[in-house]
Amino acid sequence: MATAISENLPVLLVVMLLSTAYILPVLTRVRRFRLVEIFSILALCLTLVGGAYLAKEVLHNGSFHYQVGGWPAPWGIELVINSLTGLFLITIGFVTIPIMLYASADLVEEVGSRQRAIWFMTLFLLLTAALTGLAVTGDMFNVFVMVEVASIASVAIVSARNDAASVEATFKYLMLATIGSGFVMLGIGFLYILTGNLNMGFIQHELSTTWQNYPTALWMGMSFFMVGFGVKSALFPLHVWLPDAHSTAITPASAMLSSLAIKGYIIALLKVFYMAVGAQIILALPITNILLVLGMVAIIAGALFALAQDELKRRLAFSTVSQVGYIFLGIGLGTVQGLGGSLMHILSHAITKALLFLAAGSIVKYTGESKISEMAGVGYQMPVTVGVFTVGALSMVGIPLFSGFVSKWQLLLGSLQAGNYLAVLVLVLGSLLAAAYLLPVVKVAFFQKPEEKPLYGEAAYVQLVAMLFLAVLIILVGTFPGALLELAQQAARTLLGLEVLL
Amino acid sequence: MGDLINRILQNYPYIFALALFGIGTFTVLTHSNLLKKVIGINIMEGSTYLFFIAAGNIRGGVAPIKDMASQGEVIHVNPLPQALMLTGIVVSVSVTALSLALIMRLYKLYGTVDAREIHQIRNEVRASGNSN
Amino acid sequence: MSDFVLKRVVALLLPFVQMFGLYVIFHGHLSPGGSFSGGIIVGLGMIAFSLVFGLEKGSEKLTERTTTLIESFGTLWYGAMGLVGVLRGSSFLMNKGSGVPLGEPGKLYSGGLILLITLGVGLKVASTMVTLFNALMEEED
Repeated sequence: MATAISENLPVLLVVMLLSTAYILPVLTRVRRFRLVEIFSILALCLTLVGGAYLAKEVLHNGSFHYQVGGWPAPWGIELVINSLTGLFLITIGFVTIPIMLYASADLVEEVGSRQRAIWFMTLFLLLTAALTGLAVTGDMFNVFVMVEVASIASVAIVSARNDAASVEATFKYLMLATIGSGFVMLGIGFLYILTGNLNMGFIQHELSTTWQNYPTALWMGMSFFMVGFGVKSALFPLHVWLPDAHSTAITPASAMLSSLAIKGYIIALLKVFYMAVGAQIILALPITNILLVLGMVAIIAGALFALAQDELKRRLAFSTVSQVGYIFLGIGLGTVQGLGGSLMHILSHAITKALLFLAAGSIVKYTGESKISEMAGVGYQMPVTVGVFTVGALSMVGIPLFSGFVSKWQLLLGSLQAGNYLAVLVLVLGSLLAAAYLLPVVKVAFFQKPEEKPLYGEAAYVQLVAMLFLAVLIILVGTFPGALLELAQQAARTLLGLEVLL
Repeated sequence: MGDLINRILQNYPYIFALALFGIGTFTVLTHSNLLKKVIGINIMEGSTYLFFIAAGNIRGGVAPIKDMASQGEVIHVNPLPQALMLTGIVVSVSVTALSLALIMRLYKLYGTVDAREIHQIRNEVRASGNSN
Repeated sequence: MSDFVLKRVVALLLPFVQMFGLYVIFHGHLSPGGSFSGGIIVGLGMIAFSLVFGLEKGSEKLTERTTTLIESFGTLWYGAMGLVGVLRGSSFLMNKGSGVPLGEPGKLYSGGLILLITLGVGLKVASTMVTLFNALMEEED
């Protein structure tokens, strides 16, 4: 039994999350709602444990393949478990558990009814399952299916509250996400026509010998992928849907979308670029240069847009645009240090942004103020919430001992190694701008006296636990990044083809 | 020149598919009527089906069904893209259903299915300081 | 709607439509057909019933609770069938390795687990179509 589980773990994780998602709607009539919540949190905990186990296996024994249905590679669907998988699964576990815990405190009240709350949790678990699927898959069409499930689930959880603002944002998001899917699908079509395969390893094998015969078609396919995943992961000029969608959704939904959902598409892009097409070809076509430039533009532009916002959640949403730029900058460097840094940034931005959104959601909800300029003195009433917000802000700026520092330091080292001083300048400037748009919130909350006597208190007990968990995680990752950093760098080496894929 | 025309004639389904894709995307992005946007989405998804099915087609091939009665060599078209497009159809059905449900919800909330008007109403609400 | 002809025709056709849907589902694994197309036909039969006889009568026949249950059941059934392979010591969704006989060309009920999986998916698709229709119709009033 134990060996059956450990051998089939990659597929079992996805199946377990999907089954849990579909058991929940049956439980609408359970008297104690808490049971439903505990059940779904348990499933997410199992994902974290499974992900950590897989990561440990990969770190010690290297990547391995799993054949669904027992069919060998070109015929059946193949799952590839490597350090990238391990890292992203751990990220998923780290972020989803506290978000679900936070949501459990006031979900029914937020979305209106118990049934809607259950549907929200189902979609949340479906989204998690799709992201897990993206992490483990090694098949192009499987990537498409998982991307679609993730898109539809994330579109649907934006409109969980079903009010005027969120429904409009949802529709915008749905249209742009679907255009993105169309581009991704055509990209897959190009790769399929060129190679006759959907399995990533086989595509790479096929392309490595013949790609010089049709560089134009390959370029077209790659640009389709870049636009498609760019729209979905909010790369700067294509980010228009993000601020509305992420700022009008309910707090757990915006935390989930901003911290994890867009990262799933970046993971998918990395898989297509480095596992399907191969590092050699990607670095020979200068695709990474485009990503580098777009990343730099995104960092500065996103931060400037964030500075201009007065609404707290909108400011955080634009900050996500800026931070996605960091990830693309690291990918664009095309070196082990840069790619490792950007993989590390996927993790550290995920936990940091989740914490910021949860704290911001609490502040907005309990004070009833969504504008930063009207949050004077909130820190005296909600010391823990604003305290953890400060931790998140410092991590986002990249102060040492917080997780943001680890990844930004790696990115900085990567840019220096690559001799790209413009990137160094942009990284430093981005951090300064992050300080400029996040620290005023802390300043207003702690150092300004409120005009009238406030009537609100601290957030709910469970929510505080969830936020403290994330804050402790940020500090732990910031002080002892050891194993995770090693995992990220191993993943970068694997993707760049310096460590042979088994 | 002759070579180019020959290549275009041989690959015409792909060119049609890409043209349709462009038309669909253009419709989604430029029309402000929400229902037209959904139609655009469907044109776009339809073009991807054409693209894949053309990739799997063999001139003179028959449907990939094993016929016990037929004798001799039969060329079957590639069934894999067809199976994939079934998945694509499922996805586009769910996207269409979701977007239609959202349009009905929007119509109830704003009283119009025009994106520009909805945007205007939104801005007015936000300007009046009532953050809904 | 109180159209006599419409009601009679739907009442007459409905069994055949459902039968045809089931036929398509049952033939999905070894011959042309499939759970998605068959499930859509079954679902459309129920939607036609709701359209002609009214939404209330339709949801009396097939309550929201039932469609939710069937939907969840379909997905869980798929997962369970996949797990058979794991429990028999081979990989997920495996047919041969879990000791079930493989399909033979021309024989309908010989596809091992695939027929069972197809059934689950067909149920799920049919109930999802009904749920989607109901959700769209209920928004109107």
